[in-house]
Amino acid sequence: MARIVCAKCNIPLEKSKVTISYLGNSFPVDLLKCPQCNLVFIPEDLALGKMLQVEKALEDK
Amino acid sequence: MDQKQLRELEAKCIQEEPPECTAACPVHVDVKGFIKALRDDNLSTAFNILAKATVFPRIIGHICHHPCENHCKRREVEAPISIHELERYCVKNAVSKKRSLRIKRSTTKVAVVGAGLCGLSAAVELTRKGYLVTLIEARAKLGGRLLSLPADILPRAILQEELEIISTLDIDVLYNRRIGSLQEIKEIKNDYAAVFIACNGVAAEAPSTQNPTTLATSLEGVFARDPRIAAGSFIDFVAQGKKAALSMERYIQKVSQEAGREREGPFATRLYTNTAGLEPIPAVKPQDKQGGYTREEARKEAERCLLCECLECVKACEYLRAFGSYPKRYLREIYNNEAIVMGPRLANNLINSCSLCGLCKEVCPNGLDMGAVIKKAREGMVLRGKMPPSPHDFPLADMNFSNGPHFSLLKNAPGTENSRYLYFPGCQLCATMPPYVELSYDYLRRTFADVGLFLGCCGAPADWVGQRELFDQARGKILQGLRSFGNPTLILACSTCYDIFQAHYPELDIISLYEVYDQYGFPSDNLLQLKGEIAIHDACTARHANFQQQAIRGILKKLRLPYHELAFSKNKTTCCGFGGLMTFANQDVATAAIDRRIKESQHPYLVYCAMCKDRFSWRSKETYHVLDLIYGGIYQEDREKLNTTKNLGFSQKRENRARLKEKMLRDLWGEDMTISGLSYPYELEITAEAREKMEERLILKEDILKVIHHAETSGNKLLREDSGHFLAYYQPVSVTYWVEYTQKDNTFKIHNVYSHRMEIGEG
Ligand code: SF4
Ligand code: SF4
Ligand code: SF4
Ligand SMILES: [Zn+2]
Repeated sequence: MARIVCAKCNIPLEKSKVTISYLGNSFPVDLLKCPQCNLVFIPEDLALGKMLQVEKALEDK
Repeated sequence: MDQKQLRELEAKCIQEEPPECTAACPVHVDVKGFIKALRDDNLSTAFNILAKATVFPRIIGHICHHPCENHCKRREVEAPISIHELERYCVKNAVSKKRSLRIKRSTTKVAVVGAGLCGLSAAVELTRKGYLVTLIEARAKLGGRLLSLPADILPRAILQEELEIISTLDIDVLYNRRIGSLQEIKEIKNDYAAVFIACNGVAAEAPSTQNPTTLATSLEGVFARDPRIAAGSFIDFVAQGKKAALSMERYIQKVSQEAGREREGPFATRLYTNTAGLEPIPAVKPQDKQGGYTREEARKEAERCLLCECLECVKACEYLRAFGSYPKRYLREIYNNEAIVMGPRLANNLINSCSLCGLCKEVCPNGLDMGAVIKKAREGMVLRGKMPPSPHDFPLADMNFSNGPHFSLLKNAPGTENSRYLYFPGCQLCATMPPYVELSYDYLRRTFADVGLFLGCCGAPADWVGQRELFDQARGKILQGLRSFGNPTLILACSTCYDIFQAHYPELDIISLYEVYDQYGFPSDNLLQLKGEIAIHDACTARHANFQQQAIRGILKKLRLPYHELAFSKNKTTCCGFGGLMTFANQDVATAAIDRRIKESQHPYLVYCAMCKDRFSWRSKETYHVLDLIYGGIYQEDREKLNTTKNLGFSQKRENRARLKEKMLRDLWGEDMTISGLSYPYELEITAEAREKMEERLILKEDILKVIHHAETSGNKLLREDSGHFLAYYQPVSVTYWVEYTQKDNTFKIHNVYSHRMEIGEG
């Protein structure tokens, strides 16, 4: 994956813990994030892969 | 669904009923399993199946009089399967291993009088049940009548080998003891817990069988063979032996003799197997009549078997097929899904993938309507707050859009104060073929004068996904509007609207636009010139709307357009995958359903539902809506615009609706559409790949605009250093949309779009 920078703060994103949640369930995950403004990057393959699986599992719970 | 309803529904699905052959077989050999094993060349499995039904498979395999064959379904086509000949092949060729019969042990003693096939069978069965058996035989040998059969029918060696089981089982045999009188039977009974009279002589004079179900006689604890069984009916003797053994066990255990024995002997199965259209395949006769089938002959004959089952609905419905089972099982899964307290609801996807089209009910011999069951299940899920949001969010938002300010409209015809009729073209026709809405409205006004216009959505999406409350809201609004117009007659252009109005608005008068065309004629200035023949695809929501079906055919006749019927048509038509919002819950199955449908005929299809056209043409099937035939002439110069082989995309469909309202308001009433709300000052240039992803991922142009607007106004965007593309995200309601784009002046080029439902929180 190419380097991703925050266009607002003009600094590279860094790996960091971010909480994501769905239907009342939260999980900490490692994501790329702007250390200054907290803008997060969720790559396409994560959104349509693992994340989608978890969404479906939570919907069926 | 409660337990009782579940059981009633389950009873309608007869897929698990045994086939005719097995039901007619007195010992219920699993013929289907047996034949499957032969097809796989698996002789030992085949042999074990026979051994499960009779303790003397090798004897029966040679001499059974095969009553099953008279019932075999294949006889409706040409000749029954030669089940007996296949069994003979099996027992002759299977390597017969020493069978070890698992045996329980008890100290209770029972007696069997007569060591023919019937008595021997009873004796072995009783031993298996754990009793100490004494077998009393008049002659000095076991076998009775079997001994006098010609050796070419029952080879001596086979008989001897099979009879060895008696000595291995420690059955006590008293030879040379002829029991000639009732008195003797009574004496025997003094020493044994139960007695079975399996021989002819004494059975005839002795107490007659009182009860054919149990073989009990008037003598306490004494059972006797049914004297009416014909001498050659060998398999019946085996069945009698088994029956007596069971009765004796129940007698000894002092449990009900009769309970649960309805299907012990031959019975009428409830299984339905469709034999229509089957090609005859000649029965295979063994070349060597004496030696029986060769391996090849047996395989060929086994191939003829239908492996009888029902699956009528599964064969007809792509959805039922896709889940790999059949309604009896599905019902249980749906029931469990409802009953579960903790743990995953495994049937959610099953429940949300059905198109509710009702075809199953039409083809099921017992009229089981899975669609109705599933709709109830969806309503229950919504009520309990257990309906997953992802499958239905998008179409419900679309319905909301249609009933919102961008599209909904209710007006008297220009220059009139009253409406005897209201034209309700429906949201999907307006979305996909807006010019025809204007033309048909014009036609209706010329035909009836006082025809108002009513734009909106009938509420089908909410109805389909079980959102009763949402549906009732929409319904309430529609009713209120209609009432304020004095409840005019509704003219409907969509079969789904028709179906919904018929079911949920019984107080309204409704007619179909196509009936109007059929009865009053239609304008001929814009007819589309078509060459060749077309095939009619009836809308699934018009399955029972005969008059609509007829009106369409009437129109085609007036157009002198040659047409033909598809194999599944009228009440047996199939769904395009839009019904029940199947495509939003399960794109794969919905697509498979269309792909199967469009292959039924190589001719172009004629449809009368906007969604059928949209979906078939999306899969590149040349498809015409009946309105294309009447008004498509306006595209004579530019036939591309007919969109007969591609679909429009969700964004375009929304835009079309809003534009249509705007245009009609302006052209007919001279009014401007003023809607508060954002319009964005950005030009979009969407790449072909991104466009495809938008459709697949249900992302609208509007969603993209919102993301860009958010990014450009807040500055919140990322940059991929490799491609120089910006990446931005925004969550307008529940879904977060991601857009990858580049910018040149005011034009935003869209390279990629995706979304997720998980919400991004704090670090
Ligand atoms: S048609 Fe389907 S539901 Fe009806 S009995 Fe056959 S398998 Fe069962
Ligand atoms: S051949 Fe005999 S044993 Fe075999 S299925 Fe038919 S009746 Fe039953
Ligand atoms: S076709 Fe096969 S399964 Fe059907 S009744 Fe005949 S032998 Fe049995
Ligand atoms: Zn930043």
